[in-house]
Amino acid sequence: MTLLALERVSKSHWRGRHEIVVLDEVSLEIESGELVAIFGQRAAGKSTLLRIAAGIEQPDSGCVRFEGAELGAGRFRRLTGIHPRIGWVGRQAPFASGMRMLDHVALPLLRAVAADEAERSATRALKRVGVGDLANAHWHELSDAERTLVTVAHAIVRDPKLLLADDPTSGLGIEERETVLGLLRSIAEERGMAVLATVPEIPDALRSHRVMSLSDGELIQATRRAAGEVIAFPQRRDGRA
Amino acid sequence: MSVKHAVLGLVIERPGYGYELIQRLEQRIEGWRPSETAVYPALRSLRAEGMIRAREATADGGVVSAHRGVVWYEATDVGREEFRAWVRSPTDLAPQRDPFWLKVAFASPEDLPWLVELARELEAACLERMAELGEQGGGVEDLRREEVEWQEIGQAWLRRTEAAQLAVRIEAVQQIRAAMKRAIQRHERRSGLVLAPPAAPDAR
Repeated sequence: MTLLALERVSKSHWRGRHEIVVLDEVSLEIESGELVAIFGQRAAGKSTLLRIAAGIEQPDSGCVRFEGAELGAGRFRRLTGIHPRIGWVGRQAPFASGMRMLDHVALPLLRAVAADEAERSATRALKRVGVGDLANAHWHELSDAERTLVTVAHAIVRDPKLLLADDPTSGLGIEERETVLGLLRSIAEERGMAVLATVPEIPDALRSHRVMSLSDGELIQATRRAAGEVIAFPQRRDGRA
Repeated sequence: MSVKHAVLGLVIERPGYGYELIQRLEQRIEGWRPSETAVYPALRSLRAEGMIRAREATADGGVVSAHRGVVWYEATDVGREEFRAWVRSPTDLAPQRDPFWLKVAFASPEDLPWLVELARELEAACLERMAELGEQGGGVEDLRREEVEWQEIGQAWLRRTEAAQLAVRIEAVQQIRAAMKRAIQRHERRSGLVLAPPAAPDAR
């Protein structure tokens, strides 16, 4: 079942009178249980695409459907900034620097459940991403890779249906990149969660179920071909003369 | 690429017959898209040069009876030596032979809308191939495990190298696509002619 659908989404940024087309009628669908990677070079519009998918930013035209319903901006913004069943993996530091990572990860649950239950869930989330030993550590003590993993734990603690990851591999070494994407893939598979991750380098996308690329406002998706079929360029797809 | 050396390498790994060798070749160097029809001439030529020899399969030769009558090939000492020498000899830089870039180089402005479309197709095909490679595994971590044999590592790097080349191709194709779109706009501004109608809404 399609969990998230972007339908002909367009978005431009304006620099004075100069229009920069960031997204030009971009459409995509994501199903539960799959990790989809979007490759794009710097400033290709990946973050804009993710913010629109999260409902944090509104497209100029087109629409975003999450669980079949149109994702309207503003509705969740005042509370938590994001739909409760959408998780976000960015690079944000905990909002208080003195926090233990356990408290940081438990924070999204505190309004919903009792403190001890939130703590148990946070412990499970930290263990799931492989950093159970960092529960009492502080943000400034962590390596970049550990911060990324803690951020994933923070994002999955509410057990969202969709996880949006904004360049989770940037700044990491090659093995750390594989660890992070392998983790996102296995979380997607075991929880039936859809994960949409942007990646700054294409080989990172190797661990994903599907790969797309974003450049010059266009989202290109892999053509699905039968096994063994040789790459061939079709004649004019749209029949233009 | 040298199908001959690939076939010789396969036969050295273990003896095989034509169809079976084709299948193994496809598995091993899939990314090179070896042509089936190249395998039989390669076998003939290797045999003529004394690098491999044929033997009829028999039950007592350790070959199952279902294969009776099929021509099996095994490597000779000459073949093994030749292969080793080839592995250790220097290799020339492979030429860039993607016809897309030849088209780009020789295109006139009127061709550019078509080439933009071809660039999208090429990028989509690269992404698809990337996804196929991803399904075959071979992460860096897996390869550093103590018990991994070199064969497996070398095999995985064939895929990783292909992935790296695909990555470079995708980035280059993205850049040329943007450049061609700008060139189309420039040409239209100067000439006052529209080079092609805008893409149909579902063309992407």
